Amino acid sequence: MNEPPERDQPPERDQPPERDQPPERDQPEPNGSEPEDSPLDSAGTGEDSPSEDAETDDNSSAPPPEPEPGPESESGLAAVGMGCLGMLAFAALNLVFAAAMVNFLDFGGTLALAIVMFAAAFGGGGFIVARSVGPMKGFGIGLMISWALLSIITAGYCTGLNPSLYNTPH
Amino acid sequence: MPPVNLVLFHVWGFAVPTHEFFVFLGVAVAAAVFFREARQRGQLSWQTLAVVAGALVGGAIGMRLSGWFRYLDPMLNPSLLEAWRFGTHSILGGLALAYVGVHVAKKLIGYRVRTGDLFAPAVALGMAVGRIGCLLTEAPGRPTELPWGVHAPGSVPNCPGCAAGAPMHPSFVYEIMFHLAAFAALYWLKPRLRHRSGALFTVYVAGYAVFRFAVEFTRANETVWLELTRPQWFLTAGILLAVARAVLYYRTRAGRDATTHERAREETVT
Repeated sequence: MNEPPERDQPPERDQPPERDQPPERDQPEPNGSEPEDSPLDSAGTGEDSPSEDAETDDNSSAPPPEPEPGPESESGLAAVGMGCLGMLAFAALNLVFAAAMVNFLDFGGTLALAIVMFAAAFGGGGFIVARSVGPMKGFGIGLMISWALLSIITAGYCTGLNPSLYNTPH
Repeated sequence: MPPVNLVLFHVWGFAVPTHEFFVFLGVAVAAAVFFREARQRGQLSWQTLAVVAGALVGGAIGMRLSGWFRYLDPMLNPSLLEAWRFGTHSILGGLALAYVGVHVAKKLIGYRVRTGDLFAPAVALGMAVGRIGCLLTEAPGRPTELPWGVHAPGSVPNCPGCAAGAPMHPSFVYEIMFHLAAFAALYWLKPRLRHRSGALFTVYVAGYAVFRFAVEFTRANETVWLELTRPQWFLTAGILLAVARAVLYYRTRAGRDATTHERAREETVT
């Protein structure tokens, strides 16, 4: 009955940030204008008053640079889904090429297939990203991610980056 | 805790290498953490995916090409093609070019939102997992008299301590513990630094650079000059650059703050 108005209370300080909660909401489109432009932001200030720097003491000094949210929309998840599809598609293509590559014991043949796979990932993927709209861009990016992942995980074996692997007995 | 076989297990007749298996596991864990962070911060989009692609491509190239700068004398270094073919799998090289790859990707797509805070906890946990592969397959460290020193088979390459049968520092255990602690610390810091975009990433990278410099004294890497290893020289240059940039940034910011105060005072007076 005598509940005070919520807004009149002292500012919340250590509360879990609202922006961390809703996974999907309408975000303002990024305008490309970040308030601060250094990744070194606050490297040395985090220990000063970690819990009090939120909203209370910054009015008189420089305004705290708000983390600018990205242009997430409901299509964000769809883009990730398409990205996964792109990764699987490239992995399947890569499986075929790698199987063929095992038979190429010379450096030149392996290099040629490596270039083809690189072109498929970045030429094809880049084309899709440039020409498509919305979540479909994720598919093109997925091709590139798959190339990079396979290169890292297999030390270049699957993508032909390490032709010496084919010439050494296992 | 000796290194185990280079092959962890077999699947349908294919040997699964121990090191690569844990690298894969580390990448998978990092991807899961990144995805969760991106959702929580409302940054899940195709642009973020493109940034991840930039990081991975840069990382893949950096890992392979890091052997290109082994010696100051360029004649002693391998050619680009040789480095590509026989390159070392350096984490530092991978991380450095992953950072470059992120910026290139952002430039290409015109994306200016910071993403470092998404990467920081993901990289920390991913590295903790990935280093298990190193622990199981590589030279543990330099000889030590400490009670937790470990032994490894003499067949481990590039490991004088292994050949001598001496107990050695479990340097990869130190590193795994660091990354786990860093992961926990980043989550503790997250709400406290939420208004300082990019700070989590900076804290993590700075912390890892300092830690890695220190832990190199227990690693079995070759010392090349002044009793320091190649990674230590690489980190020295990196830390100096980071400090220079931090000083420049804070000077610029201090100047901007002073101007803001001056304007505010003038407006109050008038």
